[in-house]
Amino acid sequence: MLSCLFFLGPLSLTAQNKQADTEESPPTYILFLLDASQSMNESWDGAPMFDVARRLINKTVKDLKDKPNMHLALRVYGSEYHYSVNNCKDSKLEVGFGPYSHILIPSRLNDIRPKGITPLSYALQESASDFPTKKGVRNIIIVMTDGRESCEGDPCAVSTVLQKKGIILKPFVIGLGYGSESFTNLDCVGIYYEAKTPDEANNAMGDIVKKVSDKTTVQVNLLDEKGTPSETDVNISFISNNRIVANYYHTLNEKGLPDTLEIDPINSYTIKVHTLPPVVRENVTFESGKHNEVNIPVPQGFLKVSMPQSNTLYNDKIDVLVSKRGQVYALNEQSINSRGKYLTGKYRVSILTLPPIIVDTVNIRQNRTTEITIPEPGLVSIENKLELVGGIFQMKDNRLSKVVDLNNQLLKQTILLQPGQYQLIYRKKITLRSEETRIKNFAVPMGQSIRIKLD
Amino acid sequence: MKWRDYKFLPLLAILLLGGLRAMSQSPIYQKTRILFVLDASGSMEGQWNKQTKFEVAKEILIEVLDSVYAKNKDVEFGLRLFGHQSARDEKNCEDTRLEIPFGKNNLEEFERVLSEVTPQGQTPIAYSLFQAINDFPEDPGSKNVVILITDGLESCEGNPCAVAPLLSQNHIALRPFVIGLGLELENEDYFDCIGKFLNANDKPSLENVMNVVISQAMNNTTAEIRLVDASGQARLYDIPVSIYNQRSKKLEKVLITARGYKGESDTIYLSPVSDYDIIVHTTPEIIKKGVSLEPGRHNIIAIDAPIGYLQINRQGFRKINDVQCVVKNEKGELLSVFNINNFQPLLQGRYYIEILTLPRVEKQINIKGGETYRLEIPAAGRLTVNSSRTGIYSIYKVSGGKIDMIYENRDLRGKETLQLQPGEYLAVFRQYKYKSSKLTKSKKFSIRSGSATSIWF
Repeated sequence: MLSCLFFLGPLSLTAQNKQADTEESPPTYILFLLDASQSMNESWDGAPMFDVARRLINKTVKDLKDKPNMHLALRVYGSEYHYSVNNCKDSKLEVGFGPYSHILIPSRLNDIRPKGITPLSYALQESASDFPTKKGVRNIIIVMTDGRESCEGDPCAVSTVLQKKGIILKPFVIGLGYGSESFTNLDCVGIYYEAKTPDEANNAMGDIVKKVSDKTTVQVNLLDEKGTPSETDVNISFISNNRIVANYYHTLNEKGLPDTLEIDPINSYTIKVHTLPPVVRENVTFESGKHNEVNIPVPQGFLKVSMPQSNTLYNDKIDVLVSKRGQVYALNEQSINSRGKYLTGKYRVSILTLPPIIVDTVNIRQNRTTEITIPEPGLVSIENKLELVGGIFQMKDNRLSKVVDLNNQLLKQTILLQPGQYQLIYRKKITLRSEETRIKNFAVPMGQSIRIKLD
Repeated sequence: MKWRDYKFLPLLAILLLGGLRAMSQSPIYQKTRILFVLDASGSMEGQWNKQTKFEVAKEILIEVLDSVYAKNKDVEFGLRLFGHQSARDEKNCEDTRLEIPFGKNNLEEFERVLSEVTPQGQTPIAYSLFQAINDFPEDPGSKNVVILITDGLESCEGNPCAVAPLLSQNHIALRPFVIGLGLELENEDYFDCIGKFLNANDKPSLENVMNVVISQAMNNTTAEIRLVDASGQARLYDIPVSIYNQRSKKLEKVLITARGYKGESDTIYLSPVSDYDIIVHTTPEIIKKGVSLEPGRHNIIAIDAPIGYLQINRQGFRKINDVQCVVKNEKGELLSVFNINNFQPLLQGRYYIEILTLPRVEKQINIKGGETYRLEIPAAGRLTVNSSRTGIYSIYKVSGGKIDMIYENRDLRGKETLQLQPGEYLAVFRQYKYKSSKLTKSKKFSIRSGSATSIWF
């Protein structure tokens, strides 16, 4: 039994060779998108809803200002025009991203008087340009609103497009007020929190801050058939919002444990483990600020098709196609004398010799190498004085089966055939009578050449 | 009466009519009479591997008689020689004689006569054939066959072509067989008008030819395998066909379809006693089971073979070891593997093909009979992957949020070169030395046809 071959000697300490987007947190840009429509003047547990929101934002700004790599901005909608005017473009970036946002935001909030309608989609759309265009940053919108879209937009659609384009991560939406559990058009905009009371709004914001600023790690356990996380050395892709966020070649660290990776918990991910065949986990979410573990069973074994006592002459000449049973197309292509790694299970192996060797049920078992041995082919040289038509056949269950056609233009041709008994069925190309067809039996010896001379 | 005098034609006409009527009323013969018209001219002294041609012919004739007489009660052989009585320079153009008249079990006579003959004279083929007409007795219920064995052309200015029709009119039912001994291929046309020409260059091939001729002479049931293309009009040639006895399952015959003699069908001989399973070796095969033959007739076995073609073209520099394409049927069974840039004939139908480029091209195709399905694939570009450290790496085809592995090398040392199809890819690498997945490096790259791309880790 072959054990895992890929632990090459003693492991050294993991002195990090930093990659730009993993060890240090990437810069985070948070835009507060605040509802300043007329309805925000209504009382909410003793104070106008706008005041509650204002105080919450101020507090959050204070909490976040000292965190590394954090940038803040404020956009409002419904603050410039009276609701009777019905201005659907009433949205303004009050404070842009800059070094003094933490002072400017509370100051501006003091001067804003809610009065207008709720052009939420428009505001979302506009906020795209509030963010820097650089790569490798996290752009986050925190929406606070008390009601429905009042113009003709579709905030969910806008949010989806912005996420797909990679402009923003999934937004956070805090729905304010006692009706907030029924804001069904908002929970598809992003991660939705219903805040029926000011306390709930506080808690929601607290949760958001954690998600945004705390370090979240994940450990992917690749399990063998016993459930032990011993599998490793395979690339894992993290995909979110239709973008490939990261690729990690799984390892087991110096303690023999799967390595720990940092991940952004805001999104939900599809995790694709690139085994053969691949294993996919969809809609994986991570708890922010915590160390998450994901268990994915990928028990694997090996397949080797070997040609003993041969030189490497045939390594590139003979293809081996491995397919999952019941599937038409190949899963993988291997060469002779090399080992391929596959999930345990049953496969069909097609070895493209002449004639092809097809093994219908090959069992790949945990950590074992299943070896298929094939004999070295022989070289058949056919020489004729005149061009021939016909082919080389084999008798199987009393039936002739064609192995390969003869080339009807050559007077000399060579063919590599697997050892065995064959029938050469031929006639002269110019012959008019099929009765003049001849059969010639011949045997192909392993690893040797034979010559067939025809008159 | 000189044979050049055609006054006896009306007589023959009457015989002809009578003969024909007799033939049509009783297609199954009671008796078969086979006349050998054997060349004993001077050239038959020529050597074939330490024996004279005449000696070889004699040996084989005796063998044939022996085996036929052993199994068949209703066969009679006769022997007419020519060129054996006079020396060559005497230029005797009437030098022919019926040496052994038809009789049962005259094997010993054949042995005796053939041992005593010294080949020496001229080659009056036409005259001998003409004389052979009268060697056969009047017997409408018998099948009469002439087998001419000669190593040379007519040397007496006779016209064998003029005589041939007379033979067939005289209730010599089949066209005479002509066995050439070491004759050149051009002479096929010469003997064409006399009968079915088969050539033998040495003793083994003479044996073979003789067996074919005798078995054809003995059977009166003929067949033709007619493969018809997609249009229904044209016939398909150069396709191997194998025929099996349905009961015993044994292989009876193989043939590669051919045009047949000028204006004639490509006739083959099969015994009507059995039924047959026929396999036409197209890709995939066509199997016809339980084919039965009507005795005494020419059976046309028509098989539809609507063949179309698959052609996969890849632009760019043609390498010696070209890319292969795998063809599977709808059930996923492997049918054929061929090199692209060649035509692959396939029966009309649906197939799954896989072109073994990197990444592979997978396609479901429909082949229509008589048409060529053309698929163009772009030329590859070259990728060189360099790494200063040993590690594991893989290549992915990427598109939006889709990422699919197409290649993995678990042991990259220094450098690797690959031929990739044009497209957008991602390579992911991790060195072995430091066991941290944070050391994973990814590189996006594009491949264009014919260009070379390098990436470094």
